[in-house]
Amino acid sequence: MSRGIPEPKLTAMDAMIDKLTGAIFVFQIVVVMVLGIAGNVWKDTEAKKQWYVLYPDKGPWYELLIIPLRFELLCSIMIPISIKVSLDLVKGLYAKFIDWDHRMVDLETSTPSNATNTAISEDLGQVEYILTDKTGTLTENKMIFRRCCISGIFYGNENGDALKDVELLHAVSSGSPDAVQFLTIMAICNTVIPTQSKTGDILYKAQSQDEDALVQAAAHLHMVFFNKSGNILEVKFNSSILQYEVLETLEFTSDRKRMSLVLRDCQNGKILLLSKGADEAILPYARTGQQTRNFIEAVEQYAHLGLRTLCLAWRELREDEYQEWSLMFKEANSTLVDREWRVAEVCQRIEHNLEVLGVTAIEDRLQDGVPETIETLRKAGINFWMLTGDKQNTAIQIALSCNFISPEPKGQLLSIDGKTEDEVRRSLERVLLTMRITTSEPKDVAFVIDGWALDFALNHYRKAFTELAILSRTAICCRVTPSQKAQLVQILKSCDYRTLAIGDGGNDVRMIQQADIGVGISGREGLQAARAADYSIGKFRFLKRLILVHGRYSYNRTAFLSQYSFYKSLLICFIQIFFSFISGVSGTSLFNSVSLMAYNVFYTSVPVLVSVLDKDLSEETVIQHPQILFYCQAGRLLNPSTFAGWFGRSLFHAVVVFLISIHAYAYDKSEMEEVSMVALSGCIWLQAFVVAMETNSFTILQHLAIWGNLAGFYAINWIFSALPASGMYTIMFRLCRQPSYWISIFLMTAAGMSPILAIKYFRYTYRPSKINTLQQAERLGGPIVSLGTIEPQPRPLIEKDVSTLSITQPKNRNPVYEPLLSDSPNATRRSSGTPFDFFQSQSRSSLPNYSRNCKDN
Amino acid sequence: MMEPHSAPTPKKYSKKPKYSKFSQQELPAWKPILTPGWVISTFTVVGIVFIPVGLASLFSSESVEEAAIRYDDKCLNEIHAQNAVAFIKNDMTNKTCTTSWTVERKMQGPIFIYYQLDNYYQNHRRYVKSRNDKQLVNPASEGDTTNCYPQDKTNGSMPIVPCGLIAWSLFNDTYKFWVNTKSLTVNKKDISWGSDRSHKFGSKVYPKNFQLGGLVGGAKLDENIPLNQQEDLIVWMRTAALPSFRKLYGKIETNLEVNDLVEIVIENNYNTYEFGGNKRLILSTATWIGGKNPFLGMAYLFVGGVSLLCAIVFILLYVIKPRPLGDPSYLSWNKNPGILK
Repeated sequence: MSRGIPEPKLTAMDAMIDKLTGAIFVFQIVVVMVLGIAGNVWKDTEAKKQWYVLYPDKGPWYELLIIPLRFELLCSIMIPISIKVSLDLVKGLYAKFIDWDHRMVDLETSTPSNATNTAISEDLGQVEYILTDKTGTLTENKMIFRRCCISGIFYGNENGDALKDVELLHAVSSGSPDAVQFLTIMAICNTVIPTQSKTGDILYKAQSQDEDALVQAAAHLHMVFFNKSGNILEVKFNSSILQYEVLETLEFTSDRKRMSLVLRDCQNGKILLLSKGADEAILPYARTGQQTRNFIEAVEQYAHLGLRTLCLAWRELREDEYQEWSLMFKEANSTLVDREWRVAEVCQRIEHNLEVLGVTAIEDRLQDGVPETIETLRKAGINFWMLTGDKQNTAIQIALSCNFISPEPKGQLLSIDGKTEDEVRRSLERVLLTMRITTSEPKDVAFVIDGWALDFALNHYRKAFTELAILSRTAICCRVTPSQKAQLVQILKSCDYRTLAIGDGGNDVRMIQQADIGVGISGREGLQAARAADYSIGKFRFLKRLILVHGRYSYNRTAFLSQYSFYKSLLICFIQIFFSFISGVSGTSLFNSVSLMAYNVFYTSVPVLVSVLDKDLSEETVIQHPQILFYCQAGRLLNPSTFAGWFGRSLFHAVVVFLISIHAYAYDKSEMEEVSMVALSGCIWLQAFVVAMETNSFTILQHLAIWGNLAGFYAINWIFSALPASGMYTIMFRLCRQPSYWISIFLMTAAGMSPILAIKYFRYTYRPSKINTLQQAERLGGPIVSLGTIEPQPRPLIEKDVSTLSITQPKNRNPVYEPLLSDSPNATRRSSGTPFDFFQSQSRSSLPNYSRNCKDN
Repeated sequence: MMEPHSAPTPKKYSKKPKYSKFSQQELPAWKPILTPGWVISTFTVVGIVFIPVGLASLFSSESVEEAAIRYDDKCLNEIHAQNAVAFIKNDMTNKTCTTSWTVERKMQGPIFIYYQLDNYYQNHRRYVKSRNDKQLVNPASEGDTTNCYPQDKTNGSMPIVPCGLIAWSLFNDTYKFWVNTKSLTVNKKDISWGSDRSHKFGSKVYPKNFQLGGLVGGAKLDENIPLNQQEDLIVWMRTAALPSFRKLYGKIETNLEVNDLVEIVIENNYNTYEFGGNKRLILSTATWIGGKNPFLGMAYLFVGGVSLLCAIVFILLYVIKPRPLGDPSYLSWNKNPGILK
């Protein structure tokens, strides 16, 4: 599987933090330059008169740089270095919380969720588009053979299970050649390896779940594939043992969409080509003269039921034809350049003139909780795109049954198709026009496109398609290749959307790596996707918790932590700047180096680290009101304007601390070390209260960290004050004995926090954000309006009774699905070419959130 | 007939992470919210506590008796006023000057004598760093004059003890007091910090080569007295953080009664004329809060008052425009369910 080179991922938040850091850096440079110039002016005018400073009359020219450089040193703390360390620490913990989460453990396989990438949890809270694979992601990837059509005869239509269809059993037992050949292909045209356990049972090791299902079904119908030794395949049919020798395997690729075997029937020495694959990869190569209409009809019908279809075909090869082809095949296999393409081309030469035998239909059940998860996440404002390799009709059925698109009349599905470039262009323009002209009617509009049309759209009408992507909240892309999946992710990313790709198989790897966040389902198709992904989860429904709980909390916590880090650095830096105005703009540091170091490392970093435990809303409230995720998606908690608030807060606090320190400790008390410690204590107290005020839920750890840190500040300083060698010897003891110290500190705290409390209270009560309202509702036990039953009804984990699934029982199908799919097979036959023509006639449609979807790029 | 089975389901081995309230983020938490009750009572309590404390601070600050006598201008006669800098720099001129002051309110001893300098940047970076603490405490480090440039060595390259600009610019005005023509003893013992005398300035370190350079800054030191007894120096070397500061000169242990005439003889030696600084002599009593400084009291009254005002405003708002907390009708998606559905 071709993996692209994964780029290191950077969260939107990190990008924003970098931007803000840049702004602060510019601010710092400006401050340094202004103060540097002011310092030099002061030096040349005032300092010459201050004889005790003993400035030399004439210095070398570079002395001009000394004062700016001093200010640069003084202001270097403006950009908090600690933010990187703190963020790494908390991000690690966010990831651990995901790993540890008991509610995201897949009980069936007891697989816990895993965050491979520890750096991007915040992005989970900012997801705008989810691109999901279908098979194995939305569905269980537990394939069950349900129906088949052999030579135009439908089996399994009556009871929904071909294995119990008496007619099929009869056909097999009576030895109908088509049926037997059909079963043979089902049993051996694959890469399955049978193994025999000690008890005599046969176990199959299959890479593909479809193949597994087919082999199992064949075995049920008495065609038991029981041994593979080297190239010899052994099949037991009724009581006779048949042997086949595999000559060549023409492997399945996502481009070819079929696989074939060339084998020799050991019974009669004939050389056979057995093929199975997607209908469009098999039916066009049917032998001339064979009527494929029946098969097309069967495929359509099965797809409408949401079943996966495969066409089976075969033909006999002449010895010389095989020999000739075999040489080409060997040569193609040994080429070094473009081998894949060459092999495909050679395969093409033999896979034609096929005798199509029939169609198999395999059911793939939806996973538990998929519709609820999609509904909740769509309420949270996340747009869903389904990218699948399956047929259009199958995809639409699955999309309907899992709330992906709404049935008529609430929803509308627009189709983009066409065989030629021109047709695709016109279709695309028509859909785009429909999307554009629709007003804000509350209606779900989705578009569906297949891989063929998508190829044109991506290569030739990229701009139009990009606009469509922005307009459309929902899309279904069928028959897409792995690289197209990745391209679609790329398009959404280029519009500045946060994308999450979720998939389970090797064909999703590129999409997963390309997306901002890749989520792998550690499912039946192996661990390829889960390994390449940033997060691996056991089931699709865990995505809800991953985004709404983990993503949202991570975003909120990081938003606070990062802005707080700037706040505290700016606070101390502003005080230094103010001090420079009363110290002859000479760049004197008010604080000693030990305090400055400890300020960043201990005093201010410990309390904020426990903000990783903060929860603004309980998990239940968030799940009930997923719309609240909007605050994270829109970046409401970390943006230049919230940052300006923190900037203003630190400026205000610096003014408070500085003015009170220098006025309360004026005249006879204006000893440098004492004033310095008074100001520092003020900062520490203020920051403790700031953290406390911004904390929404206090666990014991938060109390310990916030108030313990305050006590720790005094402990550390008492220790330093006890060391005669230190500059601050006895200072802290002296201060703590002075009533005026404590009076000053309480004054700073009250003066600093009162306005913040007042503003916060006013906003909280009279201009509440949605988060505030929910907090109030949650904590006052008020009425939380439930938005219906979003929580999935707990279903039994392993549900044997498949018949509950609507798609297997067309007669009992939920009536709301009716308008979209016409129940009778006649209707599908009419639209065999472009099955969704009738959607386009209803061009008056709407797009509810046009404005929301449009971003200023 | 053999019954085929699918590939074995993954073995049930427990990869399930261990359960703890921490790992599940389920630690019991206190979740306060800003209810009107909480906020209004916080502001009320702050107001109620701060106003009395402010009054107490203000009262004790006002109870401090303080006399400030500016003398840098008084001690210049008209001839010298034209060229004060030349006057102060000239060793030959007579710089003695006398001033008098009548006690207005009774001053309870001990009375602290400070000198106050304005526009004097003891916190200038070049100045504040210009000292060597090792040299001050340890006789063996006499030669260590790091950081002391340009007052580190004499012209003959002998290390100066104490070195640096701070010591070099030691304040050298002196005051003598007569109360009702009776000489008043000024106690100059214990005016510095005890910890400085015991740990920061050595008892075996004697001034050396001090003020012998080309430039004479301030006071000279008696080379026979160890540094830890040179209390004026110790006080001076506790640099001030503000450009306007007071330093303790001495203490008067007796009381000063109302209408006592205090005559002060000042040796006006220190050059503040060059940079336009003022010199003041301060006589002050002290209380629990220190010297006279109404700032804290006023600030407490202000903050307390504003807090009470806030409380009142919030109560009024609460009464006039009540707003139920957590009303779900304020959630836009409940008002307009069509938008997001």
